[in-house]
Amino acid sequence: MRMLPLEYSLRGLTRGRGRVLLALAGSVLAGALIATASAFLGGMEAALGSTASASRVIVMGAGSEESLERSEIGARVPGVLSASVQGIRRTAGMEHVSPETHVALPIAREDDAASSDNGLARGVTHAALLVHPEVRLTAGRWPERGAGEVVAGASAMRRLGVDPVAAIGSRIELAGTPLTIVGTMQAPGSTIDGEWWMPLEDLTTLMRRETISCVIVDLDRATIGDVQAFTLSRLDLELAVLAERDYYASLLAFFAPIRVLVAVVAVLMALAAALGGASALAAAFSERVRENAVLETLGFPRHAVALDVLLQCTLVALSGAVAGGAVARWALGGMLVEFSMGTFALQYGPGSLMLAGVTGLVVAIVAAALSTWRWIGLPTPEALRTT
Amino acid sequence: MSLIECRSLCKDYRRGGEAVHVLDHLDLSIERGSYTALMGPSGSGKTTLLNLLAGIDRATSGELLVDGTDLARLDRNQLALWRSRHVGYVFQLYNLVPVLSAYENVELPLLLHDLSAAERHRRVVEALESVDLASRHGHLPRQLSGGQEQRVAIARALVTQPTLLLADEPTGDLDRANADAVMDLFGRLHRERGQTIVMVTHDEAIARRAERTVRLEKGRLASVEAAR
Repeated sequence: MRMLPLEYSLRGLTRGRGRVLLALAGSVLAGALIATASAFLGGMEAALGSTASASRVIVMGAGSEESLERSEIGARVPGVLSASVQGIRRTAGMEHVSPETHVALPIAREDDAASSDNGLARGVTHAALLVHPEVRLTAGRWPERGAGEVVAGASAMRRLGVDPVAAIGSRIELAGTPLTIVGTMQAPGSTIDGEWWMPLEDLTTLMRRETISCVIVDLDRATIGDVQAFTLSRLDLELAVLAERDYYASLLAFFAPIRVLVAVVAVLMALAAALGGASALAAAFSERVRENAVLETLGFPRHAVALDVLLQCTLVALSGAVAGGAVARWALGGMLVEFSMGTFALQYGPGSLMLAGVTGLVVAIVAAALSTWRWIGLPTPEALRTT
Repeated sequence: MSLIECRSLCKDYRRGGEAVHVLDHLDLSIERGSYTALMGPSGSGKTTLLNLLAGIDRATSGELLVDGTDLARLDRNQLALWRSRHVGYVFQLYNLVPVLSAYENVELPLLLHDLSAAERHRRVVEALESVDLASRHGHLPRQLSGGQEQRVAIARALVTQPTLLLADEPTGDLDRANADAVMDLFGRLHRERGQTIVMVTHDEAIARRAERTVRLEKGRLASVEAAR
């Protein structure tokens, strides 16, 4: 099939510059919105997904409605569990049984009360590093019990405005209690990256409670059925057990309405921008009815002319939408979003840019269809008479 | 042998539910290498006939043979291909592509032919030289006068060496001097190359430049006059 030269398509875009720029702006906005929505959803999903492991189970309070922050179990549960369930993973003689307390508390930098924010604090023992192998201590040391010390996640520091380079030794206030950052940690992509970790006993004291939130157990030969059997045999402890993956999957399901809302709002806004862009582009091209008819008269097949219009629309809309996705990635990539489980970062992956590209393609197809509609409906002699 | 044979050619339009017979059983032959002016009052069907000859419109009934090809038998794509090989069309309003230079406008129809870049270049230069515009090859249409634009349009129509050169009031938008220059060019093409030309015009003086004048009235052949 004989096509119009690319040169013609490229130069064609220099006509009606105002409208073409408007279409470009609409495509940029649509691409940025769709990419950002995708980055939001992907970031949340990745944070919850990468926090979970197939071999780990969470033992929590039976009446907690599957919320770790609401869960309360006795402080002796880890010991009883460890003695009762065989086949828990061990490393250097240490069982992978991590008693933990999870609470959301107001947090601020000591030197700047205005920095007040909500932070997720986790009370842990050394066993936490066994059941959360994704956690890496990047600087400093593990906090000592009773010394008012804390380890800060990389995202948590960014969110509070703590300079990671000068973090060690700086002071924060957790629910009004001053604490010193003695270590920094990273757990990329996980909600833990946005947490503040401190000794379990210190946090329970700070919270004036005698219970802990949960026990996280890494299973080796044992199965979740073994742990369930334990919880059923010890009804007095009022325990429930969940596979960590199921727990985070249920969290994802819990946040589904928010995710749907984000997606719908983004799609609606992008649709408005896309339609604006498409109609501007269509207006720019619908003025070329006579020119299209002239090309037909010269011998270019109608589909070659229509494809050229589509190519021009695609050049504008696709480049605009992908640029929009790229700009959003540059401006917002890694931006932290707080939610009740901590924080997650907007993740602009190849999928986000691809979605932006698909948005651009849709804009291009709509614009090409709108702009060629009038011409295709006209016989060539009539199209030649249009002004 | 005739290059163009119209036998009982009809073209009807529907306007407000009523059939309008633009061409009404028209019989006409046009010889190869001839230079014909089509005249007639508005609505007599001369532009419609030109569009049928160009293959950009279809007859309602009757037969139209151009160089032995029955145009009614060609589908849309075959007609487009046929046009690119056999028809050069000159419009009243030039219809050059505004973002392309004179050279590129003339080269455009050649892109439909299997020619090397060197051959395309040779033909474009030759066509521009034939209309005395070789020196303006890099100019965009808006940088040319009306007469120059029309000469570029003629070069574009000629560059494929078409069987048939069709012109729809080619001087209708030009002043007398430019109109004369365009007509001189047509005359030269006819004399020197034996180019078959069919031209629609309202202007008797322009029509007198052709070998013969075909007059249409109400879609029918009114008269055929040879030039004096």
